[in-house]
Amino acid sequence: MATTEKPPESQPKETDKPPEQPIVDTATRRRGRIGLMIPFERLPWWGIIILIVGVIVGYSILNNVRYVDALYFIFDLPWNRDAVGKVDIELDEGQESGTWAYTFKRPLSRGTYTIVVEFQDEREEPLGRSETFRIKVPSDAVELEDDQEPEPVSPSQTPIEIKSSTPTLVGTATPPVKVVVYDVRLTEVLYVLFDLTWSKRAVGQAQIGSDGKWVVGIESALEPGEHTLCAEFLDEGGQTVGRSDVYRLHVLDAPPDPETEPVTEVPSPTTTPVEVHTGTPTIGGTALPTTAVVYDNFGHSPWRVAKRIWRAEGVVLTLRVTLIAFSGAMVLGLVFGLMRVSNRAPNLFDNAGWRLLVGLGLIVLLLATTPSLRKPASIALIAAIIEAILFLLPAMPYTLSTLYVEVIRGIPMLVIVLYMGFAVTPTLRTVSGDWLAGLSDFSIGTWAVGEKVVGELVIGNWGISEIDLQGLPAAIIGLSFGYGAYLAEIYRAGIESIPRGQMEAARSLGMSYFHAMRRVILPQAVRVVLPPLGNDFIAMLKDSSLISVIALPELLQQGRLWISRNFRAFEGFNSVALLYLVMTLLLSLLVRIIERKSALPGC
Amino acid sequence: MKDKEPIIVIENVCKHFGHVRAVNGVSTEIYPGEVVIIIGPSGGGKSTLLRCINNLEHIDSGRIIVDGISITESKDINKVRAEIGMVFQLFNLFPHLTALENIVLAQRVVRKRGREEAESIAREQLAKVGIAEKWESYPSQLSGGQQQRVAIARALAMNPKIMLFDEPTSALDPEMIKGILDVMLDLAQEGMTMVVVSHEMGFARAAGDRIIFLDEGKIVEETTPERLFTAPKEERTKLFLSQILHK
Repeated sequence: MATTEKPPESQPKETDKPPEQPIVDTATRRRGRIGLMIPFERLPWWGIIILIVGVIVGYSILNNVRYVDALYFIFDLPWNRDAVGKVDIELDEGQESGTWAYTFKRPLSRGTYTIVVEFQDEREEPLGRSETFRIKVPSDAVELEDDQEPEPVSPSQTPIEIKSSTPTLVGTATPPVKVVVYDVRLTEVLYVLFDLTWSKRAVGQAQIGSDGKWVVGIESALEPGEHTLCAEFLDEGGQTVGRSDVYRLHVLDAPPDPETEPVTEVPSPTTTPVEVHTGTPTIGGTALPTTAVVYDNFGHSPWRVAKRIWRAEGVVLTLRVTLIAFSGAMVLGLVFGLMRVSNRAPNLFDNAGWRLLVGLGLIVLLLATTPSLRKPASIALIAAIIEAILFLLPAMPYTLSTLYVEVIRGIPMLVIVLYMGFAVTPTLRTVSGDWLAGLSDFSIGTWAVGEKVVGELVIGNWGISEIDLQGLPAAIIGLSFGYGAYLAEIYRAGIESIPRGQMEAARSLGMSYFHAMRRVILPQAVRVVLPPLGNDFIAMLKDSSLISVIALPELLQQGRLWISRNFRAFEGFNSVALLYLVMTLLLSLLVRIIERKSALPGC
Repeated sequence: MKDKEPIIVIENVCKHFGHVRAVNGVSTEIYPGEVVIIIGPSGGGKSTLLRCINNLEHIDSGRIIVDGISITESKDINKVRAEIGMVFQLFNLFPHLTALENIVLAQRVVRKRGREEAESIAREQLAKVGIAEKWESYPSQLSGGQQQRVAIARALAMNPKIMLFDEPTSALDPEMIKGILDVMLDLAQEGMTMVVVSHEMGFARAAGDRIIFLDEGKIVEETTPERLFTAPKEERTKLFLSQILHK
């Protein structure tokens, strides 16, 4: 900020110090000036940090709980499943389902894991899936000795292991056929409501009586805690014909209550991971006799994804592009904003003769240096253009800046970026190549003393054979120009918001327009425009993701590369979104601090 | 007084905004050390005439010569303006600067004085207007009267030859007015050339050498304050005086 805001730093000498020099009330001053006091009535700066931490924690939870994986299952998306191992299911004689057990081959490190088992037939085609196993490996987990028995882990809702209530659900349905009750979790309710395909687990079923009444005793005991149950009605062919309302149950540890009334609240069930005390636990269950494949989600912790993108310098590039482009946009915006407010009626005829002369000089220079232009038609055209530009110069600032703002503001940023990358850059390369080649070592003239030539003025090509904007400069220029148009309007609004009296007071003191603008108007205007400026800064950080379309390896592009390698769209985009969010929240914090520090007392 | 050369010559000045003729052919001369009061009804062109003197409003026709320089033809209007201090109705202090910095800024930028020199002059002027202890307050922390004192100090620090006052007390609380008028009275007694747009009759009688009654952009009556208030010649003047005195 171009202000002389500092109080007189050096203590005035005794000579120029009036005797009634007051004692400086430093405490009051400092508070008013830099605002070190935290205003508790507003959202304090640490509130934003708490918000960031909250977002990170929430994100970690989101990516760790099973429903992120469940999404891949439900929508049958291709994803990179890391098979930890395979085991054959042995079939006892006369039985339809067999038991299986799998022991991890390599120790799991500390953390929470979500593991799912897929059952396959002989040709390794998927037949079905087990419930997800959730395993929490504590930090004090030990590896097993060879002779030790691995401890078995079951899915969270297996009938035998957990003793709890077996409630009975009651309801009414119109077609008297059959009712199946499912145990539904938090997010799964959404699938029921929106009728999406999902893997359901029936906890009990019964025939619906001729009066439409059905009673289902939950066959497998529910573990203590919250449950959301939903009954699906099937016809004779097993096709779904309808659903009941959602039942929410809270199963207590205490002796079971035989009947639970239906409740119609929004459900909020919880699943707690089973604690195991080894890095290589064994999991088991019941299924059809084929092959069981165990999958888990390690390798895709949000931190590893984010770290991967970070290591690839996606974040660094995004920040660099944003900072450089925004600096450029601020300069462009200021220049064009100042041009926009200079709407004084221009006097075209002031100094017209002088401008015509300069124009003629330029034409002569151009024709002297570029022989290919020396054709009557080109001469006329160039002369007309140069003279017109110079003649209209006084009217230029407002016209030019308005044109810039209106044109650039009306074009989508994506189009500007694509334009810079795929139209301007190649054109510039070709044209500049030709032009620089034509200009190479062109002699402007020689001068001589008598007969002897003593000097020659040569325009060389300085070793540049073409101007090749790489992708990055093109992107930065595109973003700068795009945002400059918005910033110009912001600056204009800020300048125009300062009362006219300020400019008048400054001019009445003999200050020039330039000085008054720089020392009086702009310091005030900048304070006014800080919030919208910060707004656009954050918007630009987000819009910098657009440059991924010209194959620049910034944050989004790195995320997409990771996704294309791992087939995990949710995790990849989650990490990208998280990184953007952290950056934008930190930037808001920065803007807030700048605003606070530049605030005037009593304003 | 009339033996000297006039410092401001106003010749047949016209200024109109669209169809409104704010100033319509005003001619007068102001001599060094003279205090001229301008009164008149709202919209009568008082402020416009004052603002024309330092070219804040560009005149449409006529001539204004300040200290031998025609302001319409001057190549460097800023030099002329530096010699003319102006005090506004709404003070127009720079809100982002302290009282001291308000006074220092133009001295440094326009008069090219060093920081130390400018600050010592600023302190001197603040002491003169009676608020030396407020040097590091921001305008928003000052009362209206204090702000107007800073504004006067800011203008005086440029060592102007002429001071223009555009209704300096009309935005102030009644109890603040006297202080400002006292400062202006002191200034008049020091021999400053002043052009004051004000309806403060007491001040006009005490300090004014001459009073101009402007209506519809024209000078209706021009005489000494004493004579104008006691024995106005024109009907328009009588009507105006009866209205402001019975207020």
